[in-house]
Amino acid sequence: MKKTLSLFLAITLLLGLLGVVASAETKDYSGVTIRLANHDTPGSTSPEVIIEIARFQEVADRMGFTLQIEGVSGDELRNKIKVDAAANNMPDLFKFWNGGVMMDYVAAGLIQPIDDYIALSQFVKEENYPDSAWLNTLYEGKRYGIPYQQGIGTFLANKEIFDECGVAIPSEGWSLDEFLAACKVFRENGYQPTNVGSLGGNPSHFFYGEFVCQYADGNELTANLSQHLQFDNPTFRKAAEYMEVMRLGGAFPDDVAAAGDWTPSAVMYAEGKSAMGYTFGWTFSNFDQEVVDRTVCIPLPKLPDADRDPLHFIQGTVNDNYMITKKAWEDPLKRDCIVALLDQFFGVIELEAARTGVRVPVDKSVLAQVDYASNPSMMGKVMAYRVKVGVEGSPMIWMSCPDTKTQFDFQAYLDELWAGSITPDTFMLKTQDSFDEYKEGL
Amino acid sequence: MHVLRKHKLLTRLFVLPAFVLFTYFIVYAVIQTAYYSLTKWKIPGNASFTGFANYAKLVQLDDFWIVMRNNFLGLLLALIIQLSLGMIFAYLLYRTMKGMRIFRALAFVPVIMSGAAVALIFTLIFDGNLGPLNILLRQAGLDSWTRNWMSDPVLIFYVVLFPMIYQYIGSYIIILLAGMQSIPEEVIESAQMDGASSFKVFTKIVIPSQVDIILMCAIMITSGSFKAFEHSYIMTFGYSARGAFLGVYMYITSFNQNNFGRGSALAIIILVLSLGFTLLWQRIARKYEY
Repeated sequence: MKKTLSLFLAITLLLGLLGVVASAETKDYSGVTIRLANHDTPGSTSPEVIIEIARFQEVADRMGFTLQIEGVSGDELRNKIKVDAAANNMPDLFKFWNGGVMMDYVAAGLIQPIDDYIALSQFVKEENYPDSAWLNTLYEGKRYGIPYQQGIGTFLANKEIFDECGVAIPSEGWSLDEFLAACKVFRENGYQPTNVGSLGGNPSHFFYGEFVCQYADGNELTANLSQHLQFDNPTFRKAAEYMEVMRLGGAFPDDVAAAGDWTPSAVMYAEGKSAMGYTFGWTFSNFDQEVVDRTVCIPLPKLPDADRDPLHFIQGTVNDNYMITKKAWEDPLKRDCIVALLDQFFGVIELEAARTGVRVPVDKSVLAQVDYASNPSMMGKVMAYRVKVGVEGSPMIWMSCPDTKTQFDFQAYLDELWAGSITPDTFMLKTQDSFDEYKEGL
Repeated sequence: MHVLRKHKLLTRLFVLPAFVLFTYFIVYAVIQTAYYSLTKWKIPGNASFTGFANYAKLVQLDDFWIVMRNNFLGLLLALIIQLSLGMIFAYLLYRTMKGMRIFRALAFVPVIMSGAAVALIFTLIFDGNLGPLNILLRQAGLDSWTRNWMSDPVLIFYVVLFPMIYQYIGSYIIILLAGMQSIPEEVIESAQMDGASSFKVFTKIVIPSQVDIILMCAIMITSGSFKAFEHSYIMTFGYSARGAFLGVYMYITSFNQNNFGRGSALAIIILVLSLGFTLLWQRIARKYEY
């Protein structure tokens, strides 16, 4: 009996020792290549991109794996992922947008639910994220994206142009009539009133959403668009009609397509060509200190029949996620690398980006470490204004579109509405057609 | 050559790589695209057979007909402008004694530039808010001529077409000039000695003798017109059909609208139109063959 017990103990000890040795053994990642697709285009001269690439590379160097960053700028990242998916060559880890556009990939079973990553992560803790942050990452009850960037919309006024033209800064809000009267004055003085052009629906689709959300049911209709699929509804229609009123009132730039898309519209404001600028956080790198100094944040004009005051809300919720490909996660070595890269992003890069005013993180613990009030950047100014006035983010239509096609069509038809080549009625009908086509395919 | 004729197997062996590559990358790709045009195919996902539904839907779409109109009008204008200006400039170069080589090189410069670069340059020129064209017009006191070039639903087609025509006109000048240089000098000289003016020489000798070359240029313009992509895409990103051509519309439908079945149907339409027009031109060309 004694002998048997001794033998048993010896074997147990030996096995335990082997286990310790095995776990202590350093894994060899030299044969691992991680493909990371995001907006960090290699060769970019943007400081934040250079830093971000370097930070990711630090992880690869430390662990010894090969990191391949596949950076694609702007919305073209969508097409890259589409082509990769068609070729069964998805990147291991990629940045993507929330809502309908990501669900195509989730539904096809290509994406790993992120709970397993959260369980392993040192930095991403569920309690640090507001419940609303996960809403547009949910599919059949599971979460598929780790939210990292809030869309921070803002409406800016160039103090110098306002003063020169004798227009008072509308710090307490203004009506549509007051706004249009100001637009007229700016035009008479040779300025474009706003920078709100439209190319690919940028930035017009957010601007349009601002006015939808001024109605009592605007938020709900927007947030649930992918369920009710009724784009042509009285609220959306009224907002479209007001866009036409603004177009005819000269509120938008002369050449709306040339002033469209993010950078051209931001540059128009930055160069002092437009009196007002409507933009989002990701364009703030276009604004140097001189632009920041002459800028004040203002509310959007209130529609005559509005139910909600735009002084206290603006477009913007969680905008971007990181997503993990299922195939990559199933490889234990790749999984370790992915966890390390994501932890570097959420633990280090996000804090740096937040402190320098590049992004507004979703993680409350990171947000708490940033003092926007003393930040001299445009992000600092905008965030301080939001806190002071009590501005909340409102839901965005593009994110609630059920798929890529409806989203693309909505934004493309806005270009036509902005250019005056279609009426608000045609805009509503064409966009609803696109939603109907989606319904037929269900 | 003799050895190859003698050994048929060897001949086939040499042809085999080209045959395999052509079959795989061209014939198989066309057949596959034709099949996909009969399916509903979203990426990610599998294609499901739907018959001719994509074609039926396309003909119901206003945007499709706007793009078709753009393609045919663009082709017509390109044929008229590129061939007529190409002939005129080629003839002027042909009759230029001094500096012909410099002018010839200059005419060809836009051709060797990237289409995307040319499109970008013209995007900046036509920018209705900050672009130099409107600024120049204003400075010249022609305020009423200024336009929102990039947004105007009617003008955008011509704004996109302009750099397309401008960029490739040089290649037709060179081709037509080469053709003119093959005309025996004594023919021109004898006509001039008989008192024919330069205009008469151009219309009565040069043009008739160059018909086959003109038709070859027409084929090139036609196929180029159906392949048109980069200018329209760079200048408009294809968001509005009014500035789009079939190639851009196909890309937008496939990638941005994630409708690869319908995009494949557009690819087949482009193929059929290109082939049809090429055969038509070839039939016309046969009449003028010596």
